[in-house]
Amino acid sequence: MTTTDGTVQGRTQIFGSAPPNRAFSVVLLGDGFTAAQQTDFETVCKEFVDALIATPPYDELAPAINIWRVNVTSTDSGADDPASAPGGTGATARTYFDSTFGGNGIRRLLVCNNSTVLQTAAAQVPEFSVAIVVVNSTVYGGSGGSVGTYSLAAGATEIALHEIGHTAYGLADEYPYYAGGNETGHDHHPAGEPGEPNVTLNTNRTTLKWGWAVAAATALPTMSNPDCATVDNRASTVAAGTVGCFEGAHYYHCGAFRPEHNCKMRELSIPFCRVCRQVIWNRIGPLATLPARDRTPISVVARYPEHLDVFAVASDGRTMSDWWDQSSGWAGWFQLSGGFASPGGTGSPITSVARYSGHLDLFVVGTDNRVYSSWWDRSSGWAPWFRVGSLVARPGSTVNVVSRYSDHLDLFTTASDGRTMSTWWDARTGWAADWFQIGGGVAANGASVTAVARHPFHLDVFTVGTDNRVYSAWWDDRTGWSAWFPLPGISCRPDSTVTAVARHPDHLDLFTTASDGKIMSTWWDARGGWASWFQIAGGVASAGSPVTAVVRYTNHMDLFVVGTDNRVYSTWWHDTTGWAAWFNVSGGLAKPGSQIAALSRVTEHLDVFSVGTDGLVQSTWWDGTGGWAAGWFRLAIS
Amino acid sequence: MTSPEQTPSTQAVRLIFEYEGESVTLVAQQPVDTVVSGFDAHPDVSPGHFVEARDEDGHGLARVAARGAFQESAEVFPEDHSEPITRVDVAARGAFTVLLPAPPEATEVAVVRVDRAGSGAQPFGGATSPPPGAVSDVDLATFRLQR
Repeated sequence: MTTTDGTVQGRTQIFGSAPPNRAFSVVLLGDGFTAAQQTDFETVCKEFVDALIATPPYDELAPAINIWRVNVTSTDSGADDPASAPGGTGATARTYFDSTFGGNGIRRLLVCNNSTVLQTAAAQVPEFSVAIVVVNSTVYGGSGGSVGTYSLAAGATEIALHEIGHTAYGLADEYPYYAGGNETGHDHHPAGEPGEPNVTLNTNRTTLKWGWAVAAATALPTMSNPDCATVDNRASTVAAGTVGCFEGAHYYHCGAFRPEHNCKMRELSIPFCRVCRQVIWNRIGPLATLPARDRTPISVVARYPEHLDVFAVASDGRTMSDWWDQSSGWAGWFQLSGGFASPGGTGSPITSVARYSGHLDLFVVGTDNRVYSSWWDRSSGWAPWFRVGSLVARPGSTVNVVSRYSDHLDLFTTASDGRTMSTWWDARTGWAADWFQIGGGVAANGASVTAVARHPFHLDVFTVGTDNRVYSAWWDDRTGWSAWFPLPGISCRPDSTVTAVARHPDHLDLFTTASDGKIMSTWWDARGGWASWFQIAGGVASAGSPVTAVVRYTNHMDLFVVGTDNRVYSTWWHDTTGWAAWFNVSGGLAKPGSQIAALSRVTEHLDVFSVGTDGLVQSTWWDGTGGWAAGWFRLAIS
Repeated sequence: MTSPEQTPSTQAVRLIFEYEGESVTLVAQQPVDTVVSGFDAHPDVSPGHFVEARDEDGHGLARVAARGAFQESAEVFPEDHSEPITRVDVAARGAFTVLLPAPPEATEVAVVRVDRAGSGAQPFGGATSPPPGAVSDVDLATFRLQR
């Protein structure tokens, strides 16, 4: 009963088209299938594929999953079934991986030679993520560990799905017993927080490892075991799908908690709970490119010159991020604390600011049209989303943020009735009492409120009013908020964005699009006041596409926009040469009306991001030494 | 200036180990052209077993969890899925594999057991004792990487 009892025939990819070096790769190996029974193995493999891909969240992760079949012929059919295990028939079978029921005297414990399995899988599919052996027997059985095994008995596929949870993602068992519930010594979980992401000893809402998934109204703990001498077998006292802390997990009746009342990591044939689904997402999702909402702006921050953090909203509304570091490349897309963004208008974007190099603050309007924030800190990682004030924002509105100095944030957005609203956070006093209306202003439907701080104690804000004119207001530490005043000369689309940059403290440049799509600019200078609006180099934007401006020097600006032919265009202004002609950036195309995100990590470098015509987030760059890159690449993992 | 797309993928290595108790041997290693996502390449520091790539001076370069390794119990699944899954004690014997990022300066790999401080023989409370909840590393074995 060794590898002399069979032959490896070879591999066949039976599902997926992900790049092999950026895929979650499952390898199915057959044992106890004779040469004449290989079609039986192939049928079973198809059934596994159907079961896996139908199981959430795998159904949504399919683009990053490859499944391979490794055909192995065995001399005999079946597996050993020793009579020493109650129920065993005493049958023996000469098979390649030496599969046998009756492990530890328990017939259902189906084991094989793991080392041979792993070496065979590595030889056939070097990049494999998990290896599963399908044993040709209708006796029910399976096992887990570094290799999953299951038989052909009805329902045994569920064993593989549960075991992949352990092997690929480090998920814990959520059942509250070791030997079925009648054992001793498993009343109370010992001290020490488990390392697995789906069990905990901690019910503190603010530090709970899955706190992001717990609704504010859900009690913690959600269910407590009234008798720790036994398993709590009561039905759930809360609605199905409620995420909280349910006592009884990780082999103990009390002291350890699971996220939902039930989960595939607790009971076979049950769906994965919300937390386990998110863990699976975080393992496989980063391997894939990101289908994004077509017109939702992308946000990008360079906390330091060798690092980028990119924020985008997935086509299904998930709040997503990817980061690049010069030392390690792109990390891959992951969902930020389980968040979803409001789908109204062009879709609420995630906006971001780095008050210092080890910290990020994020803002978004959620699906309930409330404003939410999260932060990342180098010392503590990502915080759960929390609500900022009581404001009900316009669906899909943008929350613009300015950090006038490192201990202060000012936020700007529009209320559901269009009022131009603001609030602030200060390190000394925390969040302001609530949002307030700026100068009695009301914005046009779809317009955002943009802001720039020319000084640490001064703000200039801009929007499009209900008469489609551009308006401005300012705040100064000495005088407070001014009234809104118009900047006449153009009529805008109602959803136009007014982009403002301050090249130096006494100067502002504004960019927007007129109702006919013309790309317009004006400026303000402390000495001369406001200039008239003018069209930039004859440019016309795709309807709704905002103008992005980057200041690389005080005397140089770069602009980006999507043109009427959906090409990505750029121009620049230099004080000695004026405005250049618009040119297509690296052959790029973007979604109609979408935004181009751009930033300069260092003065002679630009990184540019957009949603391509295929709906995927893409990027290119310009460098002073080599000019523009030859093309665009899709953001994923590198 | 390095541009984002130009950053080369880090080379990974497939390692297959066999173990009995905590005696572990490296039975196979091969370079693999694949990414190791942040999920695996940046594991939380928590008790368990890990495999670590190290440079010539023994400095850790990358660490991944050794899932399914050194197991002392096995799951037994019920044919009726509404019945409880149970566990039985088994001898810690078998094999496991990892895909480990292996940057060019990596020369060896270590199989590391991370203990919760105080879970071993050393009691808490001494002036130099680690605080409860802290973790400590124990090397079970080190192996040269074939480069």
